Amino acid sequence: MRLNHDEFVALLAKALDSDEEDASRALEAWVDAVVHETEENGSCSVSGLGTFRKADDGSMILDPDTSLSMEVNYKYAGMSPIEVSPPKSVQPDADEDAASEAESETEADTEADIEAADAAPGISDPEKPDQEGDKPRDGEEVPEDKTPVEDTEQDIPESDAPEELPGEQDSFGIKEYEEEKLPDDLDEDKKPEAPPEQDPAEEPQLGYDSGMTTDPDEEKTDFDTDFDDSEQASDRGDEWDPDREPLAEEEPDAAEELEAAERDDAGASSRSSAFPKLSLSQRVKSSKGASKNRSRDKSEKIMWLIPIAALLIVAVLLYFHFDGQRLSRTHIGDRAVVQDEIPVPLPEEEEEDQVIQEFVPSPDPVEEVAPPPDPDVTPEPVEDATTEPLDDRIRDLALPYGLMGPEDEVLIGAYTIVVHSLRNERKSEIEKQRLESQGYKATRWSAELPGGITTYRVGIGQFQTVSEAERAIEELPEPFRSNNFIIRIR
Amino acid sequence: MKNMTENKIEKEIVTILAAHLKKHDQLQINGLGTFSISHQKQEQQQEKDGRIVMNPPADIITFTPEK
Repeated sequence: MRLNHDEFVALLAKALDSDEEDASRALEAWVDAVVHETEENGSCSVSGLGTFRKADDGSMILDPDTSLSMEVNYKYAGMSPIEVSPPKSVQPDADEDAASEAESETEADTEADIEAADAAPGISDPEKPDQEGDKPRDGEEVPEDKTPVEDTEQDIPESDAPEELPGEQDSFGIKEYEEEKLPDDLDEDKKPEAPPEQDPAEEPQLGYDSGMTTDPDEEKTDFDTDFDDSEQASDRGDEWDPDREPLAEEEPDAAEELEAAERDDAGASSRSSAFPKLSLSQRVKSSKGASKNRSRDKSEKIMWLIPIAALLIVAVLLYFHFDGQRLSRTHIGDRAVVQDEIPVPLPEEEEEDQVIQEFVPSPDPVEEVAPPPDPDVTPEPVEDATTEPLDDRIRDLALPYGLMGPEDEVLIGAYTIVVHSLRNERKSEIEKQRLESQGYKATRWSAELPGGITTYRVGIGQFQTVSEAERAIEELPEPFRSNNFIIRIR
Repeated sequence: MKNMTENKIEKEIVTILAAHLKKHDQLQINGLGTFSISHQKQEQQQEKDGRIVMNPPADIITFTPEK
């Protein structure tokens, strides 16, 4: 509404209970007094209105009275600036925000994005860094996600028995290679002595290797006999050692250790037949390119190393097997916590610990002990481990963010678009119900203003970031679209 | 010095002005100028320390002197 001078004089006349001429003269006198005082003194204070000042250019300026300004600005009184820490430039326009977001998604390496990411020190928790900072992170996670894939790809061949065992036994391989050179030098001198006795030992080894590689189905059934053959071959090697005394400076020690290990754990190694067979075949294949003497020495050493490797593998597998059972029973992924809880919990776990202790020295009861705990225990923990993150995701998705929908929960810290700021509580409730009937997610709360005035504000929508709220404003109909403000729910 | 009559006139003038300004009306007074209300939209502003703050909107009393 606009009031011109005549209308103002009419109102003044009515207020002074006089005619308009007297009111007009009184108004002119008051104006002249104010202008004159301002020009002479530089300022003129009018109670309840403000202070007129003389500007540098000679014009008059009004500094409004504080109480009057607050009452005029009652809708927004008491509001303080909202801290926003977006990881990008300061552009307030939503379009530019969206454009910068798109750039950050596609060009995460630009300097602007880097600066923007650095410019988000986390002043306010749920704001743009969460939304806009995460998007480029998601984009950046793509290559990061590829690395684990590569890791898994790398893990796959490691998990493959044929390649893993030689890979894990590289240390042994190096030793063998170092040891190979010594016998080679010596073999050159003693080749004529060894061949006649080595030939019979060679044949069963070759037959053993071929049987291992070509008949995988017969591995389980024929391994005992094959392993016996290997033992026979090792026995022949033992018989052969005295004839090679110069060579036996290093070999007999290793042979004795390997023999002891083999005798202790022959049964365990026979059960894990797949590992020694595959490693043996590969080792023999790798030695085919070398000389016959090398192959003989290699094969002999491999024959001794197989049981040790098998024993180690079985021990590791059993360790992880029972360790996995403990983890699954305690429902916790942290091993340190699990180890702390091991002595405390159920008697079943104590029994398992005893079983493990009993099992480690004697490999025989493996088949009797290992299977029983599996069916009872493993299913439950797997469900819990998978459902917990799913629940978190569902909770995140169920958070009542957005412009439309019922107001299930008021999220403290979220942003809302205030469309009404009223002093009448009843009217504010009516406006809130009206907005709810239109499908908006409406929230109403009261704000205490400095003068002791209570204002009731009605906001629509709940948003995680200011930019989301700004985008929602563009979708609002008039008059809300042009008459609103964003505020943070506290 | 203003006498009592002048004070009464001034009080009534201010009362009328304030009442209409609270309604966001525009008032024109010859010889003085025009009183109005301008709306300042909320906008983001970068502080010197790098923080970005969003200033709240405001309705401001604006006085335009008569030339």
